[in-house]
Amino acid sequence: MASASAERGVGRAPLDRLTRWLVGLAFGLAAGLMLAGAAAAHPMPESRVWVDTRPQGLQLTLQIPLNRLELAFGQPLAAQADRVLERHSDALAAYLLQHVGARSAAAGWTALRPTLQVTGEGAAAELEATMALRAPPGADPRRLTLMIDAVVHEVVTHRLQVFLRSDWAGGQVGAPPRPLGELRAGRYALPLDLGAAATANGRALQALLATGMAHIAGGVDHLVFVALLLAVAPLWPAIGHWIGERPPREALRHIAWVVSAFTLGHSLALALGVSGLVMLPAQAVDVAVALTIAVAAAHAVWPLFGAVEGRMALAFGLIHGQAFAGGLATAGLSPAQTVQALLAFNLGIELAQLAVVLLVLPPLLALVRRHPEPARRARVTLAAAAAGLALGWIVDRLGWLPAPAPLAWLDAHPAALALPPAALWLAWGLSWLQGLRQPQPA
Amino acid sequence: MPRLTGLLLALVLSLLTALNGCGGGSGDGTASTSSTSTTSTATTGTAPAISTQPVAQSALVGASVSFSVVASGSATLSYQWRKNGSSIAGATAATYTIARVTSGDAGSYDVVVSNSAGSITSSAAALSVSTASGAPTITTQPVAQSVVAGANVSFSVVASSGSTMSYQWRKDGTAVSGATASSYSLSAVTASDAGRYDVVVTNSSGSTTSSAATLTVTTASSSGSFSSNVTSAAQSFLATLSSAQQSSAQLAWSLTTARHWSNLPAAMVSRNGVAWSSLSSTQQAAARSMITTALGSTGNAMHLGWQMADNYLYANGGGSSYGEGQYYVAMLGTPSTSSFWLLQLTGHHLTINLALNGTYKAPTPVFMGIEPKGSFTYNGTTYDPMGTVRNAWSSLGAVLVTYSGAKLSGTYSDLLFGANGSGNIDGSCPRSYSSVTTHGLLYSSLSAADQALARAVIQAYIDSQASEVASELTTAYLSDTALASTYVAYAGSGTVSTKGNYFRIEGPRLWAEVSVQQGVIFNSDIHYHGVWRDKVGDYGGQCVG
Repeated sequence: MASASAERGVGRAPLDRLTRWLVGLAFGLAAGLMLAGAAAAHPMPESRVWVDTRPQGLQLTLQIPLNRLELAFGQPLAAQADRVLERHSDALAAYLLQHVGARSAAAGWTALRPTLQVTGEGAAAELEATMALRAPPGADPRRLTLMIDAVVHEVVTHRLQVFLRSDWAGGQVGAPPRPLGELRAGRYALPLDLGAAATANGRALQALLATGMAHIAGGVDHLVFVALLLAVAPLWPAIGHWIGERPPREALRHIAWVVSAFTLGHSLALALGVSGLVMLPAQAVDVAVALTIAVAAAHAVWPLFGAVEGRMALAFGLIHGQAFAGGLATAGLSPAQTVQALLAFNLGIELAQLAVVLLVLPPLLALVRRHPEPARRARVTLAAAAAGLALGWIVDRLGWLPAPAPLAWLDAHPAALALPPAALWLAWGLSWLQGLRQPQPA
Repeated sequence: MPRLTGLLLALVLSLLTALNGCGGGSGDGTASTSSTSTTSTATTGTAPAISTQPVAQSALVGASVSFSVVASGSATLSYQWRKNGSSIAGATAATYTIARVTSGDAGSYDVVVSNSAGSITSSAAALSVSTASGAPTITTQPVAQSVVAGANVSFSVVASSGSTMSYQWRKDGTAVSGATASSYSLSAVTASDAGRYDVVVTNSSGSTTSSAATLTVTTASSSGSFSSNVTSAAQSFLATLSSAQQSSAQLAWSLTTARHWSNLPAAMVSRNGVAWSSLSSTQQAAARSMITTALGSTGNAMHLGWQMADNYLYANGGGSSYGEGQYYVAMLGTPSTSSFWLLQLTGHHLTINLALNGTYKAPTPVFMGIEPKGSFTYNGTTYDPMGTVRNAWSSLGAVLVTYSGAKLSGTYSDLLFGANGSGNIDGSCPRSYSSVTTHGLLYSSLSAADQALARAVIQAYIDSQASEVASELTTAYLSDTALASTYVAYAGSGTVSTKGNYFRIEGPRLWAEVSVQQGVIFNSDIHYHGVWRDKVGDYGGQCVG
């Protein structure tokens, strides 16, 4: 029997390569899908106004198609979208300042000069203007009439759709935007009543924490992955198979290390995803997540990663974190709010994940010690089931075939995932009762 | 665990870097940004502040009125006065003067004062206008209506004056007993109720008579063999389908389901029914036969031509989001010779909602857009499915430019009542035709030769339908009473070849619009969006307020 240190010496080089290869594969796949998704965009003819609340008023982000704006602005814009800012940024800022404003009762609001960007190409090119609106002293910044006639003072057929994107003080954060109304020719004013503001950050952070917990609780794939990590936590890796159990303290230390690495990986990817530095298409991320489950299932039967399990968890955490980032919308939040949102959302994920660990680990450790052979068979069964699920997800998420029926059922009934841990506790209970009658030899 | 601590520190650092990199959290929006250029604005000075707000005024018609604002702030101040929230062209000084006030000038005025740092909105100041004589002023005239016998109808007027007003409605110049409120309702109308209605509004100083609004009463659709022919063709088509296909093709009737069509490709906004691509050649033949029965041979040729236009887009760079396979056939309600159901034929640029056994025989709303813009050849055959309609508009447009009253102000870059509801499907029902306050020119103001051109446009739409439907529509749209309250209008330069041009014909029932737009697949060329609605007959008359 080889010692653990000898195994590390043998195992490290080829397994490192494997990790790199798998991660490379996942990201390559993601990039390919991203290119495919960029084709064929049909321009959306309306303008959108995203409202984010601020303590002193509102921040508005207007997205206006250049081929509509030019009709009202009076200068051609769409034909040379890439030169619009260089030529017209002062005039466009002045135009927006004259056509975007607000009033509370009799008191008019102040609008600050917008920052401008041009996004998209061809007929989909848009001007994106971000501007702050400040309520006058004494006026309620959450009860106002938005007054916008940009574009629609001239273009009779145009519409501006107004959405509340984030409202930190009202607890609307990290959720899909809420439609507030529409402005068009003849309807240039939109009364808004955002209700009373919360006095502290509590409402928003609570909502984010719950969103984070719900995100992992409803994410069957993430739970399956965590379960697979746990299944081998009490074991020592050898080449080609798992041997003997780790002592409880060692097992706890090991699982803490692996789960921390997974957490680090997904926290990092979540931060990168939310900040917009790394944006991968959701489909590619979902396929990569399913791939990690297939690999982790194989690993639960034959130790692929041996001593570099931590690194595997880190790499796969990076992929899962990209998927988490899809569940948190932070557009429109201030930098400080974004940091808080990220922490609260991540904390929600961690709490849910910790609950899974606490739920599964105690009976698992006990059962592996007492009944190694049934535990081995249970582990292989779990791995086979997880591999089946993973393959189903891959096929479904690539759009090759519709989701197999068991998968669709599981997605609709995630509560069924409580059955394996329940079975573990039941088995532990039975084994404990049995132990009472005939004590195990030491 | 020193290793873990180090990693956590790295996490926090990378997080902070990430946040610095995102431009101070300035809301990147949800749009995917394929090419982005940013301007960083060095804001200098402070936004303006208003020290003296504009004040409310009241004036007599013909008098001069001024609104003023006093504001301070760094750099040059710009002013933009607005009436009822809409910018007034040329009103860009600290004082806005109306030299000769008319009753139409009444409203709420404000000003936006701006400089390079920002802007401020003033408080609103009302302008009330009264006539010199003090007689009432009519602000909203009664509008022409067309209904089937047995329906209810209501006329209303909005008038203003400084004192209490009384109303007297008249039919063909004769006072209607008891009709003395600002609105007048008739229930269960009969043919004898048809006529011209107006109202005399009186106060202590005098009286004003409204314009006359025509009430047209049509008889309820007589049923020939059309309904049973379409029903049996629909049943034959359904019989060729598998049970899974049948459950996609045949849906329960609801207005909400019916409104689920769009002018965007089906790949972007889903459609009701079975996709043409999912039908076998036998099933397609049965569908084709049903469509020929439902639309007549002209309408069927148009439907086929629209599918071919989408094939042409597929082959010329549009890709698989386009093509005949992405056209759909749906039945809302069970095909029957007696109870109401709707045959919905829909795809990217063509949607037809043919109602059977409804209050009205109408195929509306009909969306008729097209790209490529004109004649094209696909698989050796040349098509121009919108040719008849387009040419009719083209001839009318050429003469409309000689009538100043036909030109609409503002820019029309798309349709007013296209599929522009939330989610890019057909919007609320019925469309708010009363929100349209500029109608263009009355048909009766056109010369006899030009009236014929206007009728030709209406005829081109009617001709796209089977004879029994066409016959009802001919009465509804082309009768003398209907034409007497029909308007023609255009915006832009009057040709069908220039982007941004727009045309409209509107009658008591008819609403037809065409907009000339930038191409999407052929994006250096133009393409058309058009909609044909029936103010009361849309969705078989199930879409009324």
